[in-house]
Amino acid sequence: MYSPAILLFGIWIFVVWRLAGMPSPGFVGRIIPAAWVLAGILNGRAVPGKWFLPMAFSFTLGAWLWMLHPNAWMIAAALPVAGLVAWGISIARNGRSGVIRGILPVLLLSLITTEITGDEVRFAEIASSSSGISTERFDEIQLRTGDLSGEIGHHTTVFPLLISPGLLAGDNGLRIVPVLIALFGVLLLARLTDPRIAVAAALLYPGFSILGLAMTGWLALCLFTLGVLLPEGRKWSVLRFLLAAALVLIKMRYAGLAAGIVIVEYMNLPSGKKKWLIPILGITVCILLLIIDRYILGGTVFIQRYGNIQSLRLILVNAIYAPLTGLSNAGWSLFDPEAGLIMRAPWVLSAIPGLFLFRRKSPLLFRRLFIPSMVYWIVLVVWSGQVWHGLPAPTGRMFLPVLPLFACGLSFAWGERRTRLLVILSIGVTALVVACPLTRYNYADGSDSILTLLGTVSGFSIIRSHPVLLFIPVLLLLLLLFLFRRTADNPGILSFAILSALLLLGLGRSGLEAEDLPASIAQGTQLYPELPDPVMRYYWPVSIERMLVLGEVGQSILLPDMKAGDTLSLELSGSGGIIAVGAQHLTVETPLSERHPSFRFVRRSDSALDDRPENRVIETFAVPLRVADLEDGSIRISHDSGPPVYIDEIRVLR
Amino acid sequence: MKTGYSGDDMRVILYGIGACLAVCCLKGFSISYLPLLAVFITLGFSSGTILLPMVLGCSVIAVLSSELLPWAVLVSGVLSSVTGRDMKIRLTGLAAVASSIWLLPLASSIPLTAVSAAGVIFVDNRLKYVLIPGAFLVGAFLTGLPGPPGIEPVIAGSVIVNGTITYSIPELNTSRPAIILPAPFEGYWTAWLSLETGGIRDSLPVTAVCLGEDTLSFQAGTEVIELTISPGDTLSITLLKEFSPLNHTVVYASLYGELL
Repeated sequence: MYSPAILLFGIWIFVVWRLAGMPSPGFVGRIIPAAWVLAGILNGRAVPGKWFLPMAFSFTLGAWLWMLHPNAWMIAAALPVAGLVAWGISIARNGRSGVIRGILPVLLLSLITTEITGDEVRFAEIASSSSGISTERFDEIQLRTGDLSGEIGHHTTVFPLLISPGLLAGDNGLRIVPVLIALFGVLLLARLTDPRIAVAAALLYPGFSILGLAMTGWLALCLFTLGVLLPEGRKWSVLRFLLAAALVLIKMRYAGLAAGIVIVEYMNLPSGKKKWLIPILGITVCILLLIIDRYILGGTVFIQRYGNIQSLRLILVNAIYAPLTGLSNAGWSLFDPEAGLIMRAPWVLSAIPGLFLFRRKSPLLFRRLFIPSMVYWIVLVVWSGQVWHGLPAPTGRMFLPVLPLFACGLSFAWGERRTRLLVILSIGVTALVVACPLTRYNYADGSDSILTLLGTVSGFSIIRSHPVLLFIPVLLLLLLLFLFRRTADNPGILSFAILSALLLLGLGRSGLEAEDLPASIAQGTQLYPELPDPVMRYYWPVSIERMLVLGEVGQSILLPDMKAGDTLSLELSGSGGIIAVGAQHLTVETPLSERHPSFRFVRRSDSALDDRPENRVIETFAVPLRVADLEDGSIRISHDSGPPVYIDEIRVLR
Repeated sequence: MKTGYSGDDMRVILYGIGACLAVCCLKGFSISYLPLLAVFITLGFSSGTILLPMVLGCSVIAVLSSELLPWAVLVSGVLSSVTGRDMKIRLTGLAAVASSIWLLPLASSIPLTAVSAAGVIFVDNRLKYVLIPGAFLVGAFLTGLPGPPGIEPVIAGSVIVNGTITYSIPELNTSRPAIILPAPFEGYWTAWLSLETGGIRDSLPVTAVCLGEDTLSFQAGTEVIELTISPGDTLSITLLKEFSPLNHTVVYASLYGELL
């Protein structure tokens, strides 16, 4: 049984795309109609919801107006994708088969629009090397930043071995096993909550971030959810311990989740005189296992971490020397516009009140989900600092293990109007990511990919702002929640508050960041480092933002609408280079920064840093402008002589 | 005492006024913000929070672009008037359309205004569901689709490394029909411009390249041109083809140059 209306809509998308002459007719203009045709085939007897007609008309109108803006076609393309997500959620009410049917079309789009990059490549290389399955692309393990050698990276072989059978189908088979894992994960979520909630959680962020990709998140979610669903009893506790151990074997990042599972098991034990002995015994066993692995097995189990034990010590560095930064990171992990959980997944805001009801109804289940999720989050923020935020890999994947908890919360808030609106906003995020695959990634440079697509920059993020700025939206949100506490059924209040705070803070910026300078202003200049990979900037001592280089003939910055009496405030670093600001010359020599004493913990006892641009202190240079500096109302900043000069930000003071 | 409208309705109006004030504070006053205010107030009095997503969407677009706002209000209005379940919503939609069309080009907005009016008139008639697809077909084949509102061409960014210059040139299509490549402010450069053009169904010229007073036009296909660029020069690439149905006109351009 198929749905003629949905099939027809798939054909209509194809026809409209061509009649309107929208870009990418051969790729996006085919895969979205194809996904709708697939949905039509899988639909069965279900009747499309009330959202169907407005969505179909919105797409038609979007295609009608796509030429109004260079990015408008992507927003028009996102509308039918949003419809597919809505269809998936609505179809899922038909039980287990509904869950699979509902998820397949969007899963297909996720797989087709995401290139195999980042950790997926590494996993494929390890899978090929460990299993002996030869592939065309992944036969050789490439050396990467952070690897100890070409053979020892920071990944264990457990996950690669698990997904290796897929490589029998060739390079493109890499994602076969991850797809099956993701589908199994969604079924487990459906068992834990409700089929519609499970599909919503999978198709919205953070679930969608790596849906079907060869990354460990969905496997961790499966193991965690499986542990929660196991019955109570001593023999099942043993199985839970095994699941916790398996989580650590997949990736050390899940150690917090595993610790949380163990903590809950301990809390659930009946009280007795010897209960206090158990943690001591547990820790002793862990240490013994590690010693046996290191000195008897030669480190075959945890060799990656023995090879790079300093990374574990970062927990001490972050907790003891930078507790406030850690606290700030915790806040940013929720509110950062580029990668924060709530910003990418607004539905979580609705799930939070639902958690209180969930706790009241199923206290034991709540505890099994809440404690491991919280321990995971704390360990993630304390250990990895800003690493959770940006990598050349999909945004939001770090939050996947907390998905079962919030899915349970969502199931208790599903019927509320406020939830509906926040879910619609979240669907919008997924839809934009499918229509514009580059928005899946975040390069930790302070400019969010989705906001950039919409034509703006927030200017408010973990990368750029002073931590204090974080508290402005938090306070605004709390204030609005307080003011409207009696109108909890009012839809949109939360989303409105967040959007307003985000946009107001972003648009109110007074400075020009190096990465944001438009082509009309920055001419011939290059960003440092040239590659956007944030891994290269993790441990920069002064700022982890990219900088603009002025050091060659022809490179310049041309600032329009200036007048005599204005003052330029330039944030610069350099080792003696001279730049011309209009008719004035400025020698930029800023001191070398020193390594923070806390790095002694990680065996970096030398305080001197190499003379590299990122190690120079960024200083502010104020340049009052005179009539002689101006040229048709503009001022040109260019390199004059000496070593290159690096620019972080430009402000105009009037 | 019954006032005829609820607190939620009033809240929509307050959101709307607040959003308009915020937009004006941030972006400066523009006459194109007025329809937004009118729509918020009409919405508040007629349908309360039912159309709050429309309010949200228009607010965001208002902050992002004052040029696109009347279009956003127009689309919201058309959707409300065609799909609205009661007369109040449909009339609100028509009011939104009426408040925005005087800021838009007539040829582009008239078909949508007609659709909106018909949506209000054909109450409970399923035929009205073919209005939007039908109007789209009419627009695509007869009146054409609205083009980009801005007349400012896009400026391509450039990077100079070790005496070589490369430009990152976004693709040209009918939504971005012209691109300017400003020359570096110093130095003389030999440059090679590569053009790949396609997506059309005839052999008419598609692209024009202008440097100073020289202009060259090209048909679909691949071309490489050698140029000498001096300080003060402006190289522009312009799409000559306008919208026509079933054409996906696209130009991929890249430029590489060396300091002489």
